[in-house]
Amino acid sequence: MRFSRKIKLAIILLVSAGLNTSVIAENKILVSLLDIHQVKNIAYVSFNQRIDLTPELFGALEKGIPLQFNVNFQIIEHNKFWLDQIVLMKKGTYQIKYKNLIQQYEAININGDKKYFSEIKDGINFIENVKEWNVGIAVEPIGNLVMSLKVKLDKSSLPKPIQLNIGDDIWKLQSDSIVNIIETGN
Amino acid sequence: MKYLVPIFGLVGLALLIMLARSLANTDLVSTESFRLLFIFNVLFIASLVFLIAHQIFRLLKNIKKEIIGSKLTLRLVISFALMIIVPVSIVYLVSVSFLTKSINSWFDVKVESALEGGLSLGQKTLNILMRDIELKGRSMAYSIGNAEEGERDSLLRDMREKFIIDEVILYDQKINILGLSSANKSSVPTIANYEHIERAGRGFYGVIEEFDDTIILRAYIPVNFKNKIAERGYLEVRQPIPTEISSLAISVESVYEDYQRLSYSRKSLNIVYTLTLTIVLLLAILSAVAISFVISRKFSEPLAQLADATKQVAKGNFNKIIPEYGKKDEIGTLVKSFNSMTRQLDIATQNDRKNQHRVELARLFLDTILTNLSSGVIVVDSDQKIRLYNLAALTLLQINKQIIKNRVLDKVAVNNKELSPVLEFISSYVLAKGKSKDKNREYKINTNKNERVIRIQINSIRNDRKNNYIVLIDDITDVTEGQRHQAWSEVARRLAHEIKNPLTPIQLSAERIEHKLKTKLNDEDQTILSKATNTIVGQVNALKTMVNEFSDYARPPKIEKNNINVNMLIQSVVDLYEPVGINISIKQPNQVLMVMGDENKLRQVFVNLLENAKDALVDERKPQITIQTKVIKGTIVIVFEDNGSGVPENILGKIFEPYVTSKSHGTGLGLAIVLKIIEEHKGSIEIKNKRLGGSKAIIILPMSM
Repeated sequence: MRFSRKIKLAIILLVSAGLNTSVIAENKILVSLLDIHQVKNIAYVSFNQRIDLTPELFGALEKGIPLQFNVNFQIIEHNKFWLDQIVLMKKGTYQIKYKNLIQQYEAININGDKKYFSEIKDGINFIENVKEWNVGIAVEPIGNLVMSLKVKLDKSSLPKPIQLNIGDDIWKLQSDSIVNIIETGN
Repeated sequence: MKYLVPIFGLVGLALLIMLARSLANTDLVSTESFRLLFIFNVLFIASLVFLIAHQIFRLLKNIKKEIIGSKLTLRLVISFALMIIVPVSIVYLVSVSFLTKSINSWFDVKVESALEGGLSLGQKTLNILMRDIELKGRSMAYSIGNAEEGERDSLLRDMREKFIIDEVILYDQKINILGLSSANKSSVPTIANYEHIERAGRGFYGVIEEFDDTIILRAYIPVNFKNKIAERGYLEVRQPIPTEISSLAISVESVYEDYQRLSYSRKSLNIVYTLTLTIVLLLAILSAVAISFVISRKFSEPLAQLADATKQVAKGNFNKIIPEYGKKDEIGTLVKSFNSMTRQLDIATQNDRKNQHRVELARLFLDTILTNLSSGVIVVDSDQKIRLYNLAALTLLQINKQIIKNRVLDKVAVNNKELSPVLEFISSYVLAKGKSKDKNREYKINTNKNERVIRIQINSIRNDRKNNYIVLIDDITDVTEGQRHQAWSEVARRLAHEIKNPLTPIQLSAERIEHKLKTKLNDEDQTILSKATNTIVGQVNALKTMVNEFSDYARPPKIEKNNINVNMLIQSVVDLYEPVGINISIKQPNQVLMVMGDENKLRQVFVNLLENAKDALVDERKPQITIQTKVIKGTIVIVFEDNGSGVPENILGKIFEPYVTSKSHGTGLGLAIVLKIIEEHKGSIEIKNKRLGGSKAIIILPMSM
């Protein structure tokens, strides 16, 4: 009986070790003011975001670990009788990195502009503010279109041991999916 | 379960290999794949634990049920598990310790200090170069501020060339380019950042920028124009540092960053490797334990079958054959030998059963013979214990409802006093160990007012080194009676022959004497002579009658058989007794009853019986004789009943013997003759007293068709 109790305990521990990632609360990126507009058949997306870096992430950044964020933008057409269809999909990245040699933060925004900052907050501000992000050829505004956007810290850019350490959740930094209805203008 | 464990083993092995490969080459495996692989491994471990728990539960259940081989399986499993767990655990502990130490050893303090020193050197070099640019820039700003507007371009060029600067740009407050000089004529100037200009307003602002392998120093210095006090300009001095220095500095920075990243990942690295090793350990141990169940069962199965079969053999079931599966090891040889042994035992047992059956049949046959034997048989051992007896022995010895088997003769004698002489004779013979010459004796046993004569004959037999004694008991009552009848017949025949011959001359002589002398004698003498002569003649006649009866009794069995109507014969006999004054009633069926026999002889029988009844009814106030005829099972049964005094009990048993009679007159041969006639007609007769007084004679004769 005692033996079976021990086995049960071991099973519970192992399973909880495998699944605890979903239990621990996630760090957040708050995305707001998502907007899309069209200029000469080219769609541009703008949004604001607030990236709250934890002290652990600051520490990692100071150690030279680059923090790269992936932005996933989609325009989806809702279909009442069939599956939703992805009309447009665009992925973007921006990152911030501390350069030890020059003792400055190198920030590259979503449009690929690179700047150096002495203060981290300036670097974060630089990548937070997304304006006129070219997401491709504009789609015809017909039907029920919604746009969705999600920002997520790209773990694949982290050192491999950190990636494989599935129990370490300080790297789980992402936003909720922001969904806005696209005004058709009709 | 047979295939489940090997499948589990294979899956576990595959997962182990995948996990090992994912760690060996992290580029091949994505984080998500690794996570999935990890979860699969955890789930697999959980399944293995469940499987093993199930196996243990089943094994314990089997042990509780005392299923043969389960304890051996448990021992083997524990042994295998210990053999695996102990070394693997040691290897695990050593590996974890080694791994942790190895990872920690990568991050040497000296290396870190050296890298930090290198980086610091680079930083200081850049700072010195920046300071140099700043000084040059201030000098240039002073000169340009004091120069005339038209001289600015040439002054910029001259001073740039003088200070060996790559590029110099002069801005106004609105970041409009007022003047520019560049060593690279084709380069397009990058517009200054407003923020930089703003910061430069405080005196100086320097920026170091990295572009690929190039490090560029930018210095922003305010310019005070002498003739335009209200206006202020800004000089941007841009100078890339030498390639040799920049590439070395970038290389140091890169190594430092790699080191820092690795140092930062140290904890994760430890966790990942330890966790992986733990999973590998658990997978290895649990898979091995699960497989050990299969192997243990494989080992213990034939032994369990052997033990089970041994139990079956012990219970007498020799049909149990263990599957051999063609194994050539010691267990295979053992199984073969066992099967051969059980086969031989089976054959031997079957033969034994056949023999037992034969013995049983022989015993039953002997029992049947003994049971149906008219002679009594008793087997007595040397301890005088009765080992065997048959029903006839009990009947002849009149031992009723007693179990005498294994009882000593003396104890049997205590319960049966009248048998004491018989049992004493047997006992004395046994005590003499069969050496006595007196082996045969005859005894009279009185039972139920009948006297029976039995003959005891003893023989000794030697069986299984022991002496046993067979006692044969025969009822020789009929034989002795026959012998007696024969003796009486012989006596009667001789008497008749010897006495009858002189009787006639005696009678004739007496009559002649009377005839010759009657006339010569006086009246008184004549009376005496006549009286004497009559006496002689009367006695001679009486003797003749007696002799005739003897003659009848002794005559050879000669009868003339005819079909006789029994009822008519009885009626004709009864008619003779009508005047006697006895009430004779006849009960006869309507059926005609015929007997093949001698009418005169049978009449003699009936007359004899009626005469006896008449004699018995002399003192009876209401004399009554009843004659009844009936047919029972193909025989004619004739019953003579009277309400007289009956037959005295002391002579009832030998009433048919000659000279046995209760009457004062008569020869005592009447019933002896009756018995003889009836036996000559293949019939039987029995005389007994009725319970309420009187006697009853029952004659049974075969019926003629």
